[in-house]
Amino acid sequence: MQIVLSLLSVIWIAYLFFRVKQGLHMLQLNSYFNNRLYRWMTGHRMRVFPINEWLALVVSIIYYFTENWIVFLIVLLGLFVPRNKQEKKKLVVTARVKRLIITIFIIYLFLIATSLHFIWNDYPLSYAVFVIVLGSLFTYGIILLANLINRPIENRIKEHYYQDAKRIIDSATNTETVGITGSFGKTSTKFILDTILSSHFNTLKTPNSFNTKIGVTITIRNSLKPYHDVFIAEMGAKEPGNIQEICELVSHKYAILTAIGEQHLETFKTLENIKKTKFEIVESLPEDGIAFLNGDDENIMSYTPKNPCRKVYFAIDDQSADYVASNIRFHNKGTTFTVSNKAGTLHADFETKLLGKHNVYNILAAISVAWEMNVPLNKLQLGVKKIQAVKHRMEIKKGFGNLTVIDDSFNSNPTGSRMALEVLGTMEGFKVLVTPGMVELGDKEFEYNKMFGQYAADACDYVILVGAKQTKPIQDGLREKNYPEDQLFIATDLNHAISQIQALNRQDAIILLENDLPDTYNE
Amino acid sequence: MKTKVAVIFGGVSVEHEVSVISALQAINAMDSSKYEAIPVYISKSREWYTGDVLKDIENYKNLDQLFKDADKVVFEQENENTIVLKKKERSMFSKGLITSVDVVFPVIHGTNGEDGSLQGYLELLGIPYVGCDVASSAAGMDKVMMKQILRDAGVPIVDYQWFYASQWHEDQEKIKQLAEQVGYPVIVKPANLGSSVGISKAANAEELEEAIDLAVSYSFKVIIEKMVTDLTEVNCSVIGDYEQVESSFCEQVLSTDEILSYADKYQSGGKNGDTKGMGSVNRVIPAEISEDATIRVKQLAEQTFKLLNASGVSRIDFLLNPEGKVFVNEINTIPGSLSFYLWEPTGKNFEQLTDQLIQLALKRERERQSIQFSIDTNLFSLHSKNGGSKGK
Repeated sequence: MQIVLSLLSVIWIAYLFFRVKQGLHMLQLNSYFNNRLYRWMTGHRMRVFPINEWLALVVSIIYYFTENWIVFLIVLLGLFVPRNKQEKKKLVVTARVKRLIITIFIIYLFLIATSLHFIWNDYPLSYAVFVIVLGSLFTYGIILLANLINRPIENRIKEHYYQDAKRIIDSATNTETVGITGSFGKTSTKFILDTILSSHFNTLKTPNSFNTKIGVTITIRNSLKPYHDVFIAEMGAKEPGNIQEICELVSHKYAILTAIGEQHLETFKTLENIKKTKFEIVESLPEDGIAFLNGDDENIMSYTPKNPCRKVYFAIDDQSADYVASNIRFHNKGTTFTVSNKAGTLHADFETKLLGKHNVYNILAAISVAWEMNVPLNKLQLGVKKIQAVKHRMEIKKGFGNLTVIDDSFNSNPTGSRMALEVLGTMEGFKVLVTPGMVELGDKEFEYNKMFGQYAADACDYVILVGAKQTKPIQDGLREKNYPEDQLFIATDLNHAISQIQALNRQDAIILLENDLPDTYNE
Repeated sequence: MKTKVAVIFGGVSVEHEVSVISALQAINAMDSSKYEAIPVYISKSREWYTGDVLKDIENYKNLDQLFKDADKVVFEQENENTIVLKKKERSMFSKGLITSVDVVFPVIHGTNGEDGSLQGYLELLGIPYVGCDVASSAAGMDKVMMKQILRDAGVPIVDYQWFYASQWHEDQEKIKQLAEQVGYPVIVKPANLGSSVGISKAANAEELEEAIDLAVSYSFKVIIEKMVTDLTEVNCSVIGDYEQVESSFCEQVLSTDEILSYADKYQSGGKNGDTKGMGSVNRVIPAEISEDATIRVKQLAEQTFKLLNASGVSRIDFLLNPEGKVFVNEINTIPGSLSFYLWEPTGKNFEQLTDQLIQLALKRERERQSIQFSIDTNLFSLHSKNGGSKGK
């Protein structure tokens, strides 16, 4: 009897292995946050407390009364019903997971020791059974506990990673860091700056939207090479102090502040807090550092930084700024503009495939930085030319029989679509709008679409609306502006729209594809 | 933190020893505040070694001892952007990691190093490397391919014919006719050997036979060139890439014979085991040729470099006839001593030269990475099956 139970205890461990693995997987998917895992657990009770284990518990209580160990054996075997669930993202056995497994293993070792102690010391056998069943039942609890136990270690390891990254970047004496932050435009500016600088320097940037302290740390530890001349770090902030932390890590020499808006207001509470946090990137610059600031942004201009370092302002509207972009023209190849600086050392034309005033700001910021870093003009111009548009965001393409197409199909917000129409309106050519309208705008959806129609009336030579019913507000907007009916076409779906574009037969057509919707929306 | 530069040298080539000399020169020339040079020596039996012992030329006198003191290594991709040198023989408890490598600097002349094969291996590893890429190395190494490219662009070259060794064995008469077409005296060369090995001249059909027999023992592909009599041999080095090039001073090679033999090139002047390499050949810098000819040589050198899409430093060799006509003879994409002696008079010392070469390698790497981003999508994908470019 004792031997049977001892054996069972060992088999129990094997079973637990699968349970623990599943639980660890869930913990990993919840980014190792106990509170998130707990929230997931409350939503998935059946997976957290499998029914067969409840049964085992119940039956073990029965066993307590019957003392019939065969019943118990049958029930325990019930625990081993294999469950094969397809997992989308598998558990990645990282060093952290290994550490968790060790902690969990120690906890279970303690449990199994207790159970063996009961078995071999003439306690009622049900004691042992009880330990076993509880152990399996509270797998998730034990995982939570292990995670809690490991937290100080994990924090220390994270701290070690930060220190290691700091050591690496401090020893890279030839590498200068550019920090970029702002409420919007920071990722675009990062990509643009990287494109321009890499025509002259060996650069490294934080990938995608990596903009947290740990993201910057990972980038430095994995990718920073001694030969990198420039490291471009995007810095995001969710709460005050975030940017300061990253700045202290990278010791940047250049700082770009793209714009300040009322984003994340719920965590920052006030606009003042947002400003203060974003300006951490300027305040933490060394005295020989340079801050590049958007001179047209009132939130930036209304803040007075304490740091005496050099400040370089770039602007389109404010003609007195250090770097000014002027003579901005949108055309079927993109945008052309002139940049001159106050010092009088730069006065040159630039061409880019990107469209829109916001992109001019982003490029202008990058040009200012590159010019201060002594990138030669021809490389600067070539770099600006090379900048790639983000897919489906005012992306100029050739299509529909070699016509110019502005693909803005990712856009579906009122501000963005208005800006797209403004750009289209200033271009040379036969301007055609193709749109199914905007959706998911809540109460104001009708109103926004109607206004969209009104803007379109001013900007376009021809309008193709996809879906008669859903584009009703746009039609209203157009009619209110007395838009000629013969310049309006209502298509049933995108293919219908395309055949109408072909029927127009205008070689000078510039087609703006504004917002793209699955066919199901085409009523 | 220094950039780790693995200098690969030695190799399975007739110019093995020259490579060792050139590589050690380059290692000594590297700016040690910026770069950490890691010697990687490929023995004649194709085994790779690393270790500080490889940095001293004296140690190469006793190879058995050298192999004992050095570590046998392999390159390995540790993760996406880390290439490491690892010990080939690892113990149970050691990963055998020696060092990570940021850039490779190949200094192997001739086969398996200058001909694109090593470059291909480095491409597969995904590590930036100094010098020509696969295609330009291969084209530079094969004298026939090189001449075809140059002739196509109207660059002056001496008349030539070429054939495979097997054709020679099948139909000697036909090959002799090729030589007649070129016109005696001719020079017979293996088509794809970097050095002066296997090259001889032939003034008549009898000598031709002997010359070809020698050449086919070195290569499957043989080239017969018109010999320029009373020639002046001039070399010029070019550094840069497809965008920007500069040419060096010109040197004039003095030789007792018309053909600079292997011994002339690498053994003249050296006492016990030549350590000066190309620096010790009888040469005149700048070449004693007219200003016009100098300009012509420099211009043709740059043109040749760009036509072959070369990168890094190359040395282009010219033949000048007494009338002052200039012919491009060949390109060395990894020239002996990296032609530093042609750059020093221009004010670029060996340290600056190696630095520029490494920076060129990094430039090519970052350009490649930026190109991979710009794959155009088809606009028709906009209205594909489910109608939404955003997908759902």
